Amino acid sequence: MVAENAGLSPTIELRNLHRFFGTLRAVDNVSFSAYPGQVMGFIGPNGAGKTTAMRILATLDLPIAGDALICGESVINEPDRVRRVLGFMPDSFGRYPNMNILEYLDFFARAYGFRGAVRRDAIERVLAFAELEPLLDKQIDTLSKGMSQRLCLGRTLIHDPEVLILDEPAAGLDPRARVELRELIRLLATEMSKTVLISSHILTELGEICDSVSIIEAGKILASGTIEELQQGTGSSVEVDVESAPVTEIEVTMLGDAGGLETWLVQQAYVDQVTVAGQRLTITFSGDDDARHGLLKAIVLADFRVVSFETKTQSLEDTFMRITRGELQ
Amino acid sequence: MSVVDRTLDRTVGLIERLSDRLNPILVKETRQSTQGTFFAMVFLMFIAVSWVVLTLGTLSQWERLETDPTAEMFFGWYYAVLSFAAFVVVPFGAYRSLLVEREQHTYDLLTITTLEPRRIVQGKLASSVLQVLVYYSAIAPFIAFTSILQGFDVLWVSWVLALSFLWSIALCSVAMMTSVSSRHAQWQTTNLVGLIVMLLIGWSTALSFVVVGEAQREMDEPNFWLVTGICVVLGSSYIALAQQVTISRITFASGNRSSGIRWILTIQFWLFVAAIALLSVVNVGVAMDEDAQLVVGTLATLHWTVAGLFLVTESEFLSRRIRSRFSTSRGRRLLSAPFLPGGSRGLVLVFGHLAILCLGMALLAGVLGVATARHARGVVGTFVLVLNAVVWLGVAAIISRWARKVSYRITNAHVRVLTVLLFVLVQFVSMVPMIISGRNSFSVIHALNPFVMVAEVDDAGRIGFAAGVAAMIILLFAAAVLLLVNLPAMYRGIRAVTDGPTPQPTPQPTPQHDPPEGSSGA
Ligand SMILES: Nc1ncnc2c1ncn2[C@@H]1O[C@H](COP(=O)(O)OP(=O)(O)O)[C@@H](O)[C@H]1O
Ligand SMILES: [Mg+2]
Repeated sequence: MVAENAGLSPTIELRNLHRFFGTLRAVDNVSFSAYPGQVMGFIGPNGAGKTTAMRILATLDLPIAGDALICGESVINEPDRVRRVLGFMPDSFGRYPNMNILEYLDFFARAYGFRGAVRRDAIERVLAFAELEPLLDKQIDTLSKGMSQRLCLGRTLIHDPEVLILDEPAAGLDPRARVELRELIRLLATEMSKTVLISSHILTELGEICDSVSIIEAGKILASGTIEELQQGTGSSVEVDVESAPVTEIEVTMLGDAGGLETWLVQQAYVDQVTVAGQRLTITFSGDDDARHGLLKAIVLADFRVVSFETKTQSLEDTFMRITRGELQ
Repeated sequence: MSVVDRTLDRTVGLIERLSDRLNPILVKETRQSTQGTFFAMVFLMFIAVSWVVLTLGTLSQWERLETDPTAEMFFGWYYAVLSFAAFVVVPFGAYRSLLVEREQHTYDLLTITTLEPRRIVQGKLASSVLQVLVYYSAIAPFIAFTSILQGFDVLWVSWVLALSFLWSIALCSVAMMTSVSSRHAQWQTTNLVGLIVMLLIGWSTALSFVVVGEAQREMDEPNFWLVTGICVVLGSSYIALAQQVTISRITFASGNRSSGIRWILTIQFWLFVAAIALLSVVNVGVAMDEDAQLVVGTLATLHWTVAGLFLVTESEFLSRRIRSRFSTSRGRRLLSAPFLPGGSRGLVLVFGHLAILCLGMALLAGVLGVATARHARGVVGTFVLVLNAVVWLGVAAIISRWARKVSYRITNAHVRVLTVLLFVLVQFVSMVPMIISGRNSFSVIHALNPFVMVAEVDDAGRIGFAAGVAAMIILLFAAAVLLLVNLPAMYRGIRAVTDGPTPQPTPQPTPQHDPPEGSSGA
């Protein structure tokens, strides 16, 4: 988190946000911050409370307690000021019938109070960014999912907001459109140093673009930090004890029977668990790099017929599965 | 660049600049309706029907055209066509237009732009007005045709068309109010049916009013234009009220949803007073007439009672957003307090105006020197109604405060319904002795029955004197008790404004909020 270290103030700040629907705790004491130039992932299974929290950030709903600040302004007390610096892309398109792309963007530019040349410039900037120029007079109800999503993103950018809140923008996109969208979002953070909060129920979808993630389940933040921190289990976690030492898995393949190696391995330091499948062993190992080197040296010296020794980094999905417990509301 | 190009460029530039001044919603909806098929279809049908009327009318009346006054009949037919468009089609479109924004999830997108709720509502109304104007101009040639027929009354036709325009806007405003009145799906069908029935009634009433043409014969009456003017002003005030209610409904929950409505209600009351004063000056008989006094008193009390039912059941909570707009001067805060949201402040506003009404009536009776037992019927009748209003609004306020302590699930609407049910129950109980005995006699049990009480006051001869006084004392006592019980809350409500903390520029973390109204959201 470069920005944080540079001493910038957060552009998105959730402070003990609560929103209940009756007895259902949709958002339950959620706090986190994001900084300019940062892409923050907001990840949780369906029904975790992502949309609810994002709607509060977008001044569409009120928390029952707590507050959220966008560029230092409270979403409760200064929604008008927040709206000027915030772009929100809901999980639904919001299409108007009988309208083409140009008119659609023109309408939102007008709604943000842009006039004359300023309005034209805003529309042109967005069209160029989302690469929609060739489709100007295409009716919006005939657009493909990928196009719609780009138009939505464009609409979100029409007033050049500093903070972007995108609710599951990649949902339902084909891989190609997904890559394009990812590129656009990356660009927003790096080139234009906007703050982007992006939600998804699939961690891998966000892995490559997010600087950091917050994982939410049943209304509570379970863990947050950079992707690396989470994978190593060092991210700050609120509710769940994510194992604090870095845990790695080592996969060993050997010639002949693996049984002998297994009995030998379980007596070694830092080896928590060994599973055997034919000639392949998977070691759950809690030591650091030195310890791992020591283990490899010991295996070779003990003359086991090892042909490969491979450290597996945890996949994002594993991390996600480890942190969330599959609790549904 | 050719001359044509340059001219075109200039024209388009001009249109662009003009459209900048217009409401974005109006621009958008106009574009949509020119591209869509719906408006075009309805419009073509409208023209087609007008032609049919012209053709069939001319053919069937061919012999009489030159000799007999057929203009009225033709105008009646065209008015039926026009008014159906203006009173049913356009208002229904206004209703759908706001509803569709919600259904298509575009409403959220609109909300988070810097477009204020007021502008959204104004834009929707403006596009309805534009449609009505289009229908008007489409029918204009046909009406011009009727003007060459015998018996065409220019003044009457202009009067009808002008008032119909206002009536159309009023119906559109109410339709828009209906579309935002409930977010719950189960109410949407009820609302839809209710709206359609209302629009059809609105249409047929206007149509029969014009066809019967009673007002046409009264156009020479001395007060005709004065009464028209008053109706237009008061009618416009209701349009403003419906608009303000719509705006309030779509205002962000932490915003001020009440003050606009309170101001309009107050202005309406004073306009009403001014209208009565004006009528009395022009026609002194009105002020002297006790029946008129009672009607005026009843209407004014009804105005504040119905409004009060909504105002006194509001949540007391003043959000930081509302507080941040407080004046720094204590005096100004005190004056503005009754206009700020909150049930207790609503009580102050409503009770204050009811007191003004009573005082005014008493003064009127005194000044006119008609305060004899017989001539005071209007005044006493008004007192009875006002005391009843104090009782029931007091009850509503108490229930509202109590409900808020018990459960957040009890909404303002529940409180209002409960109060009305209680009122109906008391009326029913007070009628039981009469029903059982079968005799239509007045007794003290009718103290809390404003209908029987006012009828008795009105019909002064039949009232049992002792019973009447006793009933009056009971009513006075009940009103006094409810006023006293509510007084501390009213005091606190005002103090919360005058002594409340001035807002700090930087917001504090974790303020405890009232839950947003209802189970809002989806
Ligand atoms: N308006 C509402 N009324 C009642 N419950 C709601 C409302 N909105 C969301 N919820 C509930 O809150 C929980 C969180 O929903 P949501 O924020 O949409 O989850 P996510 O976006 O993470 O899938 C869900 O259980 C959902 O059913
Ligand atoms: Mg969601």
